[in-house]
Amino acid sequence: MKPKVVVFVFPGSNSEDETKRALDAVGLDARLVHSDDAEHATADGYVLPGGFAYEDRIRAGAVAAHDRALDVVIDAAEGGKPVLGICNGAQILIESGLVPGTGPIRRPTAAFAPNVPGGRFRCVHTYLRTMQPPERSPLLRGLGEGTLVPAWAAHGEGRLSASLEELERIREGRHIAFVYATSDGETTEGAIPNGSALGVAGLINKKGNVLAVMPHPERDAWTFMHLGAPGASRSDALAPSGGIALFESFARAFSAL
Amino acid sequence: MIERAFAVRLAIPDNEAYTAMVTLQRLGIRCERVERAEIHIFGLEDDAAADELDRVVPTIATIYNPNKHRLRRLSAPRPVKGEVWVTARELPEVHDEVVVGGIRLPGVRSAWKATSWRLQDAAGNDVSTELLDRAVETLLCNSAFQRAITA
Repeated sequence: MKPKVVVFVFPGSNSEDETKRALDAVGLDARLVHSDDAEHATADGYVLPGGFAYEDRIRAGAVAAHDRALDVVIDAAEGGKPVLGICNGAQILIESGLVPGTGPIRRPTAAFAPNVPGGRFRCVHTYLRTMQPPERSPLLRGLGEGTLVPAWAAHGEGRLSASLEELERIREGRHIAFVYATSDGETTEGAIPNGSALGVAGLINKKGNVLAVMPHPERDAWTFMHLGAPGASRSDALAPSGGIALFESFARAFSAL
Repeated sequence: MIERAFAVRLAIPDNEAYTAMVTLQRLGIRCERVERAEIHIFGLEDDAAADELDRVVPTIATIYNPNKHRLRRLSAPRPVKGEVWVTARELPEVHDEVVVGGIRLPGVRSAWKATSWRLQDAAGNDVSTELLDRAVETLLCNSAFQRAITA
């Protein structure tokens, strides 16, 4: 039987369909569940998609982090189930304190703050460079250290921000799942689209079962989406490729746990 | 350098303030009314620049839309009792020239924004300082990148 994954849809989510499609493509049974129906959302894993939950009121992810759906997600995360947040989902996870997970629940120790310069929304193609070995996290098991995953960064609030002490804890505690990179894998200043501290594009918790990723791999998960990019083949435009690697790795977590 | 501050409040129903109130109630913070305003603070060279700013601010469309906002110049660039301002942790940068909404502001050296929150009970009184502090800590401010300023 396929592992069941709930994709929570908040008022203002907008990437749930493509996220579900990517999860289904890697052999998971993905179900869209509205956050109002959270109490019926029993599943083997959870995904928080991109968008603007609650219209980013107060600040991105702040209201959804206190939603009843997050009670379900927090229980699941504490029980060791795989949890993935993409873009706004990542903002919700950091506001909930699930990542980096160095403090109490719902007392965030870090933030995906407004981009610099100018706090402007940016939409650019990027690469996620895996910063941890596969054994660090079941969710990264399908990705070797240094693997590049193509994705689209599309956000106004994606800059990792925290105190210097907390950034040190994030680095030392091996909470950095991904950094921004060029297509050559270089992690230069120019590869960072938002001024993110340490170039961070994704964080994992201590246990390794909660992953927050700012860029959208589901928007670059099919060959037709990245035709012309290095290594892309025109042979089967509708085949999954590129960003699908992150979802394949997520799916492998269910057999690993 | 002198400072001038303006508060911009919605004249139409403020859904963001309502969402904040409902979320705070869910967190056990008893309040029946939440007021929110965008605060724009400018650092200025002198009084002449301040007078010019008073004239220009109502014309900046990214700050003030007369169809849906009320604009008020504040008597002092800081929150009053019962209010909290939430803003970026970083201090505002000083520039030779400041442009807001495509309009150059003569004599203005810095510009920063905050969100003002005021929580009230059913009788229309401000909630206690302790309750406001709790609201700030649990929802209104993420101290990883923001700071809260009170009176």
